[in-house]
Parts: sequence; C-alpha cells; structure tokens
Amino acid sequence: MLTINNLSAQSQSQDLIKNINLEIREGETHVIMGPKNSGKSALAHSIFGHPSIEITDGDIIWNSQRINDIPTDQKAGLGIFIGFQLPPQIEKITNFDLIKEIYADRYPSTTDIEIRYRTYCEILNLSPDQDSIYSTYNDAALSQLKRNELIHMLMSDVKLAIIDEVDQDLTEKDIILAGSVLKNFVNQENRMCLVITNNDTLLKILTPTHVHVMVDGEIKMSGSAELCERIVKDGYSELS
Amino acid sequence: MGIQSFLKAQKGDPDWAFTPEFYFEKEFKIIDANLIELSQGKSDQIMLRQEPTERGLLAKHLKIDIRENATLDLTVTNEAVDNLQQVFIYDIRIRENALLNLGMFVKGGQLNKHIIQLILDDGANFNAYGYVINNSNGDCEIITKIDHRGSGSISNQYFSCESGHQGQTVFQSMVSVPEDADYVQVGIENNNLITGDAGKCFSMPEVFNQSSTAKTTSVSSTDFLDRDLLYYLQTRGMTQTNAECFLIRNHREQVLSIIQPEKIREEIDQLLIG
Repeated sequence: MLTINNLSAQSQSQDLIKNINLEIREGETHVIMGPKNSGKSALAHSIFGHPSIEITDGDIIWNSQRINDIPTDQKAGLGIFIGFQLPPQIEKITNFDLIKEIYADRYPSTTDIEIRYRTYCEILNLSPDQDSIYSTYNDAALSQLKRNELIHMLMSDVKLAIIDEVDQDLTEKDIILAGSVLKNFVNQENRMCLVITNNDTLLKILTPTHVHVMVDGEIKMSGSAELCERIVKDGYSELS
Repeated sequence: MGIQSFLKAQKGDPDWAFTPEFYFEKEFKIIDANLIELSQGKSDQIMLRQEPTERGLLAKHLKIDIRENATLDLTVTNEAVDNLQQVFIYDIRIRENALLNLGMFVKGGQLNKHIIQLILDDGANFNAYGYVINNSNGDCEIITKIDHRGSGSISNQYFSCESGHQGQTVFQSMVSVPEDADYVQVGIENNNLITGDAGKCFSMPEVFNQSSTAKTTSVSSTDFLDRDLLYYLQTRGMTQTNAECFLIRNHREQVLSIIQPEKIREEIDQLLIG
C-alpha cells in the first residue's frame, strides 16, 4: 500500500505540489486528472525522488516504510515503477540493448530476457528489432517510446505502476492497447496503479476505483469513476 | 591549462607545420624517431603501442609515408602515467590513391599531446577515429593538421573525448583545402563528454577552404552526464554509479564499434576501462 501524507514539494523555490494526501491499496486504480502544469507529473516524480524536486513536507509510506529519502533505484527495487511522459534521449543504443542492460540481473539469461521482450513487443504492437527509438523524436518514435515504457513495466517485478500520460502521442488503437495492458496488470494479485491521464478512451478502459483532480498543485476533488465523466464533460473551470 | 593549450598555428607559419625542433625547442627530449614506409600497392595493418618508459618531458617523432595505391590500417594506443609530459608528432604523407585508416586511443598523462600532420595527394584517403580520455589532473590532446594538396582527396575524422575529475581534453583540427584542389571532401566530428564536476573538454574544428568544389562538414558537441537520463535509468533500478558507467560506456562504444578486429577492440576497451 502507498500512503502519501501532507506531501509538499518544490523546485527552485517554486511550489509544485501542496498538501497531497493519497492512499492506494492493492487492486485499486487511481487516476489523476488535471489541466496542464497542475502538478500531476511533479507528484509522480516527487514520489520517485527526481533530483530537481525537493520534498519540503510530508511523508511517502510504502508498505509501512517511509521512503522519502531512499535512493531512486532502491524505490524501483521495492516494486514501484514510473512510466515517463517523455522518456529522455539516449544516443545510439537499441531498445533491446537497453532492456538487456537494465534487466540483466533479474533474469536467469539473456535468452529469457529476449523471449519476454519479444512477447511484450507483440502484445504492444512494437517491432522488437527496431533501431534506437531513443535517438529520434518524431511522432512515430514518441508513440513507440510510450508503449516501450509499458514494456519496461512488464519486464519489472512491479507492484505499483505510476504511469504518466501514456496516451499522449498514441493513436486511438494504441490507447486501447495500452489501456488493456494496464487493466490486465492491475487485475493481477498484489498490483495497484496510479495513472495520470485526461484521455476519455483510456479512462473508460481503466474504469478507475478512485479519481483525483489536481489544480495548482493541489488535489481539489476526489471521487469515483463518475467524476471522470463530469470532468470530461464540464472541464476544470469550476475548480480553478 | 585551459584554452591557451590550443596551438597557435595559422596558415602561413613555417610550412604551416610543426617540426619537432620548432615545437619542442629545448624543452622536450626526443627519445624516438621512426619511419613507417609502405610500398606502392601494398597493404598492411600495424598496431603501435606507445608506452614511454622514461619520466619527464618526452617527445616522439614518427614519419609515415604511404606510397601510391597502398593501404595502411594503423592503430595507436597510448596510456601515460599521471605525471608524464609527452608530445608525439606524426608526419604523414598519403600519396596518390593511397588510404590510411588511423585509430588513436590516448589516455592519461599530465600533458599528453598527439600532433598529427598530413599531406594528402590526388585521390588520397584519410580516415581517422579515436578516443581521448583524461580522468586525472592532466591534459590529453589530439591535434590534426591536414593539407589537402591533391584533388579528389578525402579526410574524415571522428574523435570522442572524455574528461573527468580535474582532467582536460583538447581536440583541434586544422584542415586546409587550397584553391587548386578540386572535389575534396572533408568531414570532422568531435563528441565530448564531461563526466566530472571539474572536467573540461575543448574543441576547435577548423576548415580553411579555398576551393569552390570542396564538400566540408564539421560537427562538435560537448555534453555532461545528463541528470535526467541518470534519473531515468535509476527509476529502472540502476544504481547511480552503474547508470553513470552505462552512459560513459555508451559514449565510448560509439568509437569502439568502428574497430573491426575484435582482439584490437577488446585491447582498447581494456585500455579505456583500466
């Protein structure tokens, strides 16, 4: 279970999030909606310890352990995953080479990694033999990068997946694909999900257990899946 | 140290070239002077391990003459101890339709300067690639001065540099294409990576082109270890140290992948890691 108590964070003296309270249990899918620059991604990266974000107050508790100050890689080791909205560029490396590098210690052999990788590529409609998707930033590459983040999620032993705007740059068909992968993920035992999105298609597939709306770094409203419909229909104007 | 480390040579200096005497004056002791000559039409592969055993101010002078239609694959490695000051001068002539593939791998030293000066005749081809690394307190430099005297001659250079801690690297290239050299091609690419807070990488690629038919490109980039990239890798479970090593290795691999013979690639990999 992830518990966030009164979490506030800033970057270069600018408040990013203020007094966030959240509790995510096994089997739950939480969705965070909100306009641009409302602090949704900042919340995700505050949990993970982004180097330019400073937590100024509050606690992040993972299964009874306070994890505010533990290194990012150790958070990953605890079974927490973050799928980036925009993964950074890595020059001249193939996707599979990066996968091998990252997951070498977690699988018995490279063959095991490759079998898994190819299976997940097929599920997510990605070519396993593509060249470096990390080097080019065009629409096609961005779409591949987003689906590739889900491959990383599936390759890891993840308990909590934090997925940041996976729908952006995806076609409708690929959003449905990504949604079903996430839905399937959270339906497995001991899994939970925090998804940042405003996408109607993805919201309908996920049927979240909890919906939170962030504006100006604060959670202004929380509710059930019905809240999504209201926000999609009416927007955020009444919350500003 | 610093940017003043660049040679001040300009076209118009004596022969637009440095002789050991001119450059070294009385400061450096010439401990070696060799000649590699490749006969017309021959091809050869040479691995040259520059391993000075003396301490102090050293200089080596190597002349290479590649005759018409000959091909030489020359790989030079040099690892210097931290307090060593050394200068290498390579005087190279590539004659008509001859080819030189030159790999230069240089590491360490207080001052470790490699000056490569070339004359390319008609149809001559020069491909250079290499990696320069200084993670100590010193300065490693690759300086190339290329004179495209012949028409149809080609020079391509691809050098990567890496500096960490208080180390410094310099890549300087001065390429001259005279007015009467037709259809010359010049390519310079230099990618630098600063891995430590006080590391410095200097780059000065210059092409003095007077020919209306020459094609020239020059690219230079200098990056630090990217904080966002390190964070991304850490979110996947890599420790900070492993993530840094991974990015450094990826930078090196871009040059190492050019080396064809696997044994040589492994040897150079070990040199860079060690």
